[in-house]
Amino acid sequence: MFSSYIESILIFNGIHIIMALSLYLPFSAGQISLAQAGFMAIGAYASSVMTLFWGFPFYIALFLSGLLSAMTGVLVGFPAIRIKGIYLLLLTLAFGEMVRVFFLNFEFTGGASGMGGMDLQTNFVNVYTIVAILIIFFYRLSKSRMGRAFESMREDELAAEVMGINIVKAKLLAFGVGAFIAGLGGGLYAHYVMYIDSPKFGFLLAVEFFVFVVFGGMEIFWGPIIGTTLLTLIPEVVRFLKEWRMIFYGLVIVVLMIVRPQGLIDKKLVDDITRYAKKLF
Amino acid sequence: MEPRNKQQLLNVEELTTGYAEIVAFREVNISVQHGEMVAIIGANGAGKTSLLRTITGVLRPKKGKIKFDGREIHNLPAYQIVQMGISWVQEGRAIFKRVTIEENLKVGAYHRDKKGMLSDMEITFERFPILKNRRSQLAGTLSGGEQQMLAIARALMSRPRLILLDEPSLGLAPLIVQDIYGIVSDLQSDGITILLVEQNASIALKTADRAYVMETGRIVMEGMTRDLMTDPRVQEAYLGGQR
Ligand SMILES: Nc1ncnc2c1ncn2[C@@H]1O[C@H](COP(=O)(O)OP(=O)(O)OP(=O)(O)O)[C@@H](O)[C@H]1O
Ligand SMILES: [Mg+2]
Repeated sequence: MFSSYIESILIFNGIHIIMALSLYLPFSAGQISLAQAGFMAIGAYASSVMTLFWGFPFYIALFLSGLLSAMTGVLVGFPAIRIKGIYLLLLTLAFGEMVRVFFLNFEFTGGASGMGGMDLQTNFVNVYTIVAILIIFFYRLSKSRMGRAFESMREDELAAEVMGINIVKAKLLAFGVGAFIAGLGGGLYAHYVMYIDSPKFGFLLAVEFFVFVVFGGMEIFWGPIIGTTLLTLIPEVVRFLKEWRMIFYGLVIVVLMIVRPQGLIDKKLVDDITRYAKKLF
Repeated sequence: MEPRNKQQLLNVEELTTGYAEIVAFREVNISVQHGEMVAIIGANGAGKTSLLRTITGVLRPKKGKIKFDGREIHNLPAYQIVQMGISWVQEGRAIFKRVTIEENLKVGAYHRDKKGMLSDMEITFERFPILKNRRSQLAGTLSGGEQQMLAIARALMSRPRLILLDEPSLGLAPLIVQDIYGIVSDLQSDGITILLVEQNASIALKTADRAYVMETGRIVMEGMTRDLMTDPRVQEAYLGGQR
């Protein structure tokens, strides 16, 4: 379909989109998380163990590792019931690092020398099928009662609570489903690069997903999708940027915070485009 | 003195609450009857907001009981208390500013079914025409008085039997305060029971049927508003000496 070079960029882009959406979900409920790289690692290792050691079919392994990641997500969500803001950021950061250190020392999955030899299972079609399913999911969520609950929690948690929203349930759900999506991203990643080791899932990766979402905008799920795509593709087009990626991201964020603090895409923009498109057709 | 066994909707008995070491109020007794409008007046820091937080389940009591319609509610989570029919309009409105007016109202009807929500939305827009015209605007673009109306409208969307109003006059021009209190009186005529908290004692005493005076965490006086208005102590401390 594409040259293999372009195909690989697009596949990484798809995986990044999945990861950005996994972060966007708790974000949309006002819960900041630097744990997504950790959930991704859990999905990557768990799916690899299942396909490589236990001979599970890929899609079953993918789904089960998503579930395992979701369960961990709910556990991380428990402290989030009480902890807020900067403390939640630190807590999720610590969780991500714990996961990384765990896999560094866990001999069953190769410890420091990592884990390799998985089959190539991930391709353009299955990555973007999952992206498409997620788009439908997030679209429907944004129109649903739960989506409305998330949005109001992000705006004012106390007000949301006294409107009758069960915020404990909503937070655990946001963390759990977010971690499920991150687990899928990890499984797809592992079965694309076919070799994983724990330093790949460090703190910088979590920050990268964070940047994708903040850059794209947190008001609506199109934000992280567009943000990720631009930030993944631009360094590919401007090759020398690759080594300077983090500095490039830093500059982009600084400029954006000045010109467009709500992120590139906001609800108003999406509404305007929809209205314009309706006029055209 | 009204007899204790009249039809009571809310009963607060010997209630004490605090934040860690600080006691916000102690041994408070308050009752509100069906259809009644009761005011609690008191200066800054008297403990009025803390009392409402405790009734709505956001803050846990240290001692005492809260009964709503005969059922003890002080151990229930906040979201269940809303479902039972208590709705709280917070001090400072607490509307969702970056969300549209319509979405604000929908969240107010969170535990209701869609049909009930949509039909109540129309009723709300009839009551508050200003909100109807601007339904798809962000709530943050409303003026202070309009935001207060939205906060009240949103609280009504859950079909409360008891509505708790925390300083609805706060930061509003006198004419707007009149409007808001007109709406509050209409709510009472519609059969909604009201517990009103105010620093603006004069308007609260004019509007409510009965009132409690709260000072540094205790109820120091209670009575019919017409009696309190002429009480020299109340006049001295809360009405600036005027009548
Ligand atoms: N979140 C909190 N943490 C600690 N102490 C608090 C908190 N909220 C209120 N307090 C304290 O509890 C006491 C009662 O405060 P509260 O807000 O209930 O008073 P209030 O009567 O509503 O005052 P105002 O008229 O200024 O709104 C005060 O001493 C206040 O400092
Ligand atoms: Mg107060």
